Amino acid sequence: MDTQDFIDSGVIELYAAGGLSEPEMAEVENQALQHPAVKAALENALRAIEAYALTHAQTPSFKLDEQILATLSARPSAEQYQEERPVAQTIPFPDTSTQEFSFQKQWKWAASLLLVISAIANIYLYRQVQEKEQELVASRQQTRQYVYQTNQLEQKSFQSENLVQVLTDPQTKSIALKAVDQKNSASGKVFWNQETKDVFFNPRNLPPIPAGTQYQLWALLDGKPIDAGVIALANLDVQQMKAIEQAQAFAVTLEPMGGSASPTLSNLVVSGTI
Amino acid sequence: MLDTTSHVLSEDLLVAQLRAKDQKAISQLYHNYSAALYGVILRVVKQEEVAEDVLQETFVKIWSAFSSYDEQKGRLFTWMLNIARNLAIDKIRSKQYRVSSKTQPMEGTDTFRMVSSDEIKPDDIGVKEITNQLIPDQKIIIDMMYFGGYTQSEVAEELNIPLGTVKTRARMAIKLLGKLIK
Repeated sequence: MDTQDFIDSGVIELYAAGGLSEPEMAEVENQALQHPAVKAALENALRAIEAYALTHAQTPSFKLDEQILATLSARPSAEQYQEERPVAQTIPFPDTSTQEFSFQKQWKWAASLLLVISAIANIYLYRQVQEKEQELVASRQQTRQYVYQTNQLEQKSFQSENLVQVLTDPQTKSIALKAVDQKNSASGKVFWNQETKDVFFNPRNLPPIPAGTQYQLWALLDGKPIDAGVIALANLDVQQMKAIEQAQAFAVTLEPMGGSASPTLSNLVVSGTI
Repeated sequence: MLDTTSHVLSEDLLVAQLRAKDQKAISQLYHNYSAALYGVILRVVKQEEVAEDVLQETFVKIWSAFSSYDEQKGRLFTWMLNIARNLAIDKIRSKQYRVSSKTQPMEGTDTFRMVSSDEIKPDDIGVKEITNQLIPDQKIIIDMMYFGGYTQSEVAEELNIPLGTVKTRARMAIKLLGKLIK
């Protein structure tokens, strides 16, 4: 029989109402164990009939209450029953009447003293808290500083690694730039990667320059100068310049701060051909 | 009164205490359920002295056979009602109640008609509502089975109606009761 058919057959309601024979009851119980839907229907039917049963509730007599409870109490072991009985104990209560006055006085002193101690402690603790707050602010600033420095170092380290890679790359050409003026000991070095067209310049051996001026790197192709960027003064490390597609020579001129559109040839400092 | 959840709520705790053979729990159990069980027993046996005996037997059995109660199979109230009902029905099936065989005509039905009309004096609106809502034809079937211990075929035989009708009426009555308690 299908589960739904079983539920619809009315046998569940007959079970709840108590109208089934024992084998029929067993069948319902079995179905309820196997099918949650049957179990739910049975539960509903049982609740309905139990509600009906409750409408017939009638309080038994008080005498019967006592009799039944006494019967039930007598059934478990006497031992267990004894254990649960609390044992009364007499505890002597101290006589405080004579001590009352001095007691009160002592309490007052103690309370005052505690208040003073508490006030002092509060001031001390408040100052401590303020100090700690200031320390915390300073500590936070310091942490920020460290983070910044760490970032800078990381960036630098990355650049160095990158630079080493570029400089040691077989495609990178190293071009020495020499002073135009023989008396000048100035020199420079260009690193030009033929594949990536990246240009790097080492300004270490360029002489110091007046304020308001800046060195500028040029690539020369068929006699024409191509701007390769200005050289940062603050930094004497190898630095990346503008990428150059084609060049026959490189030269550095001294230009006004920010660089020029075309080189001031009178101010040519170093140059070198590839 | 129609709400059975108040019984259910405390059931878990009660069951745990009863399992531990907690003496206080049996007293709690008695106060929670004695009126419900006594009411059913009295409806079955119809005599106060007998009902009192059966109620005592019921609690003794609940207390002594508690280890056989299985929460997985049903609620505590269902289990206890079964014990009370079965003991009460056993009583009326014993010699004093059914001295003669079934040949004695309409004994059960007469009794039930009498009980359902005269003995019940509902003092509670919930009771009135439920008993008024049940169609007499349905109510008598439920009463015969639940309080009289009649099986469906015995009801059909006693009332001289088809078995299918017994089933249908019982089902409709339970459905209605189920709606009333929601």
